[in-house]
Amino acid sequence: MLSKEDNELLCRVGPGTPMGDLMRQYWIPAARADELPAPNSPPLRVRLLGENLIAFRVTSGKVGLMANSCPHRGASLFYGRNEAEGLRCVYHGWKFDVTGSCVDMPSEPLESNFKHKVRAVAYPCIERGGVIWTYMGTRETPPPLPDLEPNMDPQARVTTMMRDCNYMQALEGDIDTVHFAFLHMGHLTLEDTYEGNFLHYQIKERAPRYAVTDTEFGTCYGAYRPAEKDTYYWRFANFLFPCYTQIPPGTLAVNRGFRAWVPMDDEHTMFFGIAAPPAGGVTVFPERSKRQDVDARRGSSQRAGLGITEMLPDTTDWYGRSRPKADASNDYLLDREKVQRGESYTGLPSVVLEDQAITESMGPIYNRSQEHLGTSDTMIIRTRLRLIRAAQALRDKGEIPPGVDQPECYRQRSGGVILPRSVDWFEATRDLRKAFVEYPEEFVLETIGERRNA
Amino acid sequence: MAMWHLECRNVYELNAWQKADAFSTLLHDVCRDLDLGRDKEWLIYLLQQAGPRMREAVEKGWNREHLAECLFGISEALTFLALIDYYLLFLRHAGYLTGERADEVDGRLRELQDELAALAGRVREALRACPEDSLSSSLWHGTSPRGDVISDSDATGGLFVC
Repeated sequence: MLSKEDNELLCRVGPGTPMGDLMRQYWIPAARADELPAPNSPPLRVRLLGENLIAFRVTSGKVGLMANSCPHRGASLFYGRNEAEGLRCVYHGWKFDVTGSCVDMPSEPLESNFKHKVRAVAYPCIERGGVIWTYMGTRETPPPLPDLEPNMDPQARVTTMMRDCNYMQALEGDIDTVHFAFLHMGHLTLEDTYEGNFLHYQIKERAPRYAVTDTEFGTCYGAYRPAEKDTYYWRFANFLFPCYTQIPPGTLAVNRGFRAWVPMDDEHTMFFGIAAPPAGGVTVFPERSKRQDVDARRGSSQRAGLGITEMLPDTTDWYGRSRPKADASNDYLLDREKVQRGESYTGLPSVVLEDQAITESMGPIYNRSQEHLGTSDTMIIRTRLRLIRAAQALRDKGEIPPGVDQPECYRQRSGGVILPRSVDWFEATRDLRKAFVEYPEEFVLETIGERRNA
Repeated sequence: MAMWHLECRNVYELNAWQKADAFSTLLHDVCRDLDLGRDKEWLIYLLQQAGPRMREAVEKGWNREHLAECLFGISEALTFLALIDYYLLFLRHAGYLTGERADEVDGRLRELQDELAALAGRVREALRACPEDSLSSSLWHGTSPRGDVISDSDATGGLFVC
């Protein structure tokens, strides 16, 4: 439960808002690199932190991100001509380079120096790991990019999907571990699981206990359930400032992924999922169910039980990128017969769409004065408090929020692990939670309570 | 097997427990004075529950089999404190608590958080010193196998000495 004022502070991200100012302290993902596939390719409309921006790739391959309105008379630069090393407004021919400098002003007399006095609003961009990052803050020299391991691996895959709701309610879905055992796996019974794997423990005890802690990068939780007589099954997940999560499915020792919930504006969010192959190439599936294995043997296209999320073709609209076919207008293609048949807890086409439908169903900006949070929501509570307090500290005292100048604090992993009951969960996993580390397969298997047959 | 020596054999002698108990009482008084109306009765219920449950979490952690499991009790207590902290923020900003009263509760809450964090730190230190050891129930409720219990006023300030 939040007061109206605190909820506003948490959710509003436009220019001049406390949370908007906080977000602008960081580099944030603006687009997938392949959305600007080639030099001089068509400009792209990008809605980001409540601003209308135009992304474009110039002849040399550099990426620019500029305010939509031409500084001359406000025409949209989306219609601009992507010419040698710059974007030219088609209204009067003014041309801007990626830094926003006006490099040509053919409508003014030749002897005029006016072009040197005019600048377009432009934000610096860096391309890394298939993501175009931008810095929308005020520093002349931007801070370093965060050391997010998956984004530094050339083999990483980047997926995006737009969500019709505020970034915070979308993000909160990722740090709400209990929902996995209900929303996504509520239809499974113990008979559907393999004894001794992670899913088995989750279904056996759907409501875990928690240990939540503030960290230098944000917040971290460990949710634990009894595994075997002397062990617990732990799921670790992270929130990292300002809008990243690392979710707990998979194996802590090898997981290399993170998710960004980038606010397009107060009511729309662009999700970036970035996943690299498992560390050391060690592939294990500690959460597979018997149903998934049946699907896989059948060669089912159901992505081993996770379902299919069909996408619409992108349009050039501000909200036209990365849209799923299933949305509120068609009840997310809900199929209640699947529920009757016991194939799904929700009847929705995929795990991704289950999250999409549920968080969008809360409204564009969830009114948190009406909710009833309990102890299983502590990670959400602590994350909100951290964000609110960091935004207030920036606004009131000019305090730089966590992680801005500490790129190394982003070297984190999330996932599951089996731990003896006699060890300190935080210390015992200190190394496992570190990114950029590889372990031998035998060791990885031990961390999930398995041994490879000789 | 390494020997554990308890600073406080009795959980009720722990500073953290005593502060948790006092905070629980304070919270109870705060709730008694609150008038939130019927639609927010649940919030009073939650807060009234959170105080004693936070205190009980410390107790239960203290009585678990493994030393490491002490941390579960502390974590759980901190979880309840986070919940209380969050709802206090709401009560303050929604005008249900005066600034003065909210500051008082807030100050005591921070003290307790610090105390619990310090306790967790001492447990962790002890675990680092003797990673494989565990607390047997006989040790828990009586003297250590060596019979030399360290007093509460142990100058080291450590919870356990290995």
